[in-house]
Amino acid sequence: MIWAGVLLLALALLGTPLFVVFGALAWLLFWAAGINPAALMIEFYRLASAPSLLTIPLFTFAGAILAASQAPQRLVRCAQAVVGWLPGGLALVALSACAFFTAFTGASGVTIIALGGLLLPLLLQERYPERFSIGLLTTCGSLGLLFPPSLPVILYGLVAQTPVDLLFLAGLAPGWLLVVSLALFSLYQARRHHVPVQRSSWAEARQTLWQARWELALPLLVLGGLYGGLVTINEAAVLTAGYSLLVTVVIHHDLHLWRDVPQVMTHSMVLVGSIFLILGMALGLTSYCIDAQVPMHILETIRQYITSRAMFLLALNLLLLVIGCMMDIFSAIVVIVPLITPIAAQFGVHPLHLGIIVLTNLEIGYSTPPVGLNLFLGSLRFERSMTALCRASWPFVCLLLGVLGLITYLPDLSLGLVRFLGYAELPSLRR
Amino acid sequence: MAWLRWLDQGLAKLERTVIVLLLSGLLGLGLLQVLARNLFASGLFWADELLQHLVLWLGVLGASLATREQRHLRLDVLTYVFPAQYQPWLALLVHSTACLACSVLTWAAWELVRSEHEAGTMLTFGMPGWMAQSIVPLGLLSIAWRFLLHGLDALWQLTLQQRRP
Repeated sequence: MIWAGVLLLALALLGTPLFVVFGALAWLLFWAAGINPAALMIEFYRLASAPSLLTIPLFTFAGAILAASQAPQRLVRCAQAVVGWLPGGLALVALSACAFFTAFTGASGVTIIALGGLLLPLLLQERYPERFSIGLLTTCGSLGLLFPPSLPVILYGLVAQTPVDLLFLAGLAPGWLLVVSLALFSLYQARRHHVPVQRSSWAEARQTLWQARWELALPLLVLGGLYGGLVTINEAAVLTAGYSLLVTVVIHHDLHLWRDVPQVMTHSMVLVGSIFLILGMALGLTSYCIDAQVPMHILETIRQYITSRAMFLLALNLLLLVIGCMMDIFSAIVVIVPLITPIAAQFGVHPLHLGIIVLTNLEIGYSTPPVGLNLFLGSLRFERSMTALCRASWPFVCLLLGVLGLITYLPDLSLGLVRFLGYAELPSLRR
Repeated sequence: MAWLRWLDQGLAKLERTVIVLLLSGLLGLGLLQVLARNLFASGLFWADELLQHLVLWLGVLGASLATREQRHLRLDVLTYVFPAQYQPWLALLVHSTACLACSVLTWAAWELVRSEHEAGTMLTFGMPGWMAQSIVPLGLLSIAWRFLLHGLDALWQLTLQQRRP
């Protein structure tokens, strides 16, 4: 059994698809424990009845539709006219447009592809230093990951059985803190390098706002409907997908209903399929681990070394950063979350706070060497070497790590708003 | 090899068509349900279960296409380290293991569908449970088949390498 485990680990490191590794491992464990491996498939099938599973294909589709349309160009033009006249304006444009776009495309790396190529020439033209510009755009590729309706947050809620709408609520303040800290840093850099301040007119601002009005209404639709108590998260997903389709196909004529939309549909479902399969296989593995009380055994072991909550949180941060360096965010959530939630509960970490810590860590993991997805996509898009990207993005990563410290050790940052609205003591959050 | 590829292209075309139909159906039915619940204060009682199964079918079919396009989530740290001449060997190893594992999983899923068939449950939208579940073994079978094709591709690369030293 141990040999089989080592073999599978080696195969995983050699690039075997992770669902194969999880599936094979779960199958072997079930078989060794004398359980009919068909039980593994019962877990897989049970995935279909998970409460907010429906939102995954729908939000992914909505994001893919927006990415394929002219929405990125409209958003950038609008942001340029509205905040571009501030000092460090163009950097703010990049930050806000990227955060918006990442939230809607589920942090699947589309942001760098769709917006990075658009924004880099603009930044360079405005005489921002090249290194700063590349670093900014690389780190921005996952900024906004905590904002609704981002896919990793939904996946986390699904795996940890934490209400998704409350997770989004808890992520609002930490998400803004990440954006604001990067904005202040950009402002400082712009001042230091004497980047000229742009001019913009009211007429232009009005015009671009009007052109992007349909896209800008989207967060209002999702947030307002969800927290106004009008719709459930599943309904919000249906409405977002329907609305994006309406805006891009009927109102703006960016995409053709027969020629383009089916292609976007299949393309986005490939991503959904890869997440779905890994999630289904990991469910079988998780159910085995819970039955065998693996989290409790881990807890007993680490109790010898880790005695306080502060120490646990530090160890958690380090572990997650290492994992975030090696794995994509979806696999990382699926693998690590079922194991750490029971342990974190023992150390008295609130489930919503834990979620925000995990997701922020993995967000930073997008930009950390050696295999951060943002570095990889950025080096493709900006045609620079990976080392150049690492060098450009490390100041940003350090800044984000600082904010991560704040988020980790100030639980009120995540829980304040939730508590203010009276959700923090819900029975569904107690364990 | 040519006819295998032709067959696989046909399969992919079928999968793409079904995905487009199912996703359109999912969106349509979802919108209908939102309307029914908010305007007429009544849900369609069978719709929830149908929506769940539509997601299941979409997920499995998407995964099958992901295998074809090699877009599954994986760790690829070490794959960059290997020199180019060993890459086909690596691909052969990875794809044949994956093919084997997926065949075993297909069999497990087949067991599930068979027991469901014997139990004879009906879903609320009027389809026998085993029929709705059958996508799981079918999808896994198609995934195993795609890994087999990738493996054969790697083997073909290897023979080419042997021929021109």
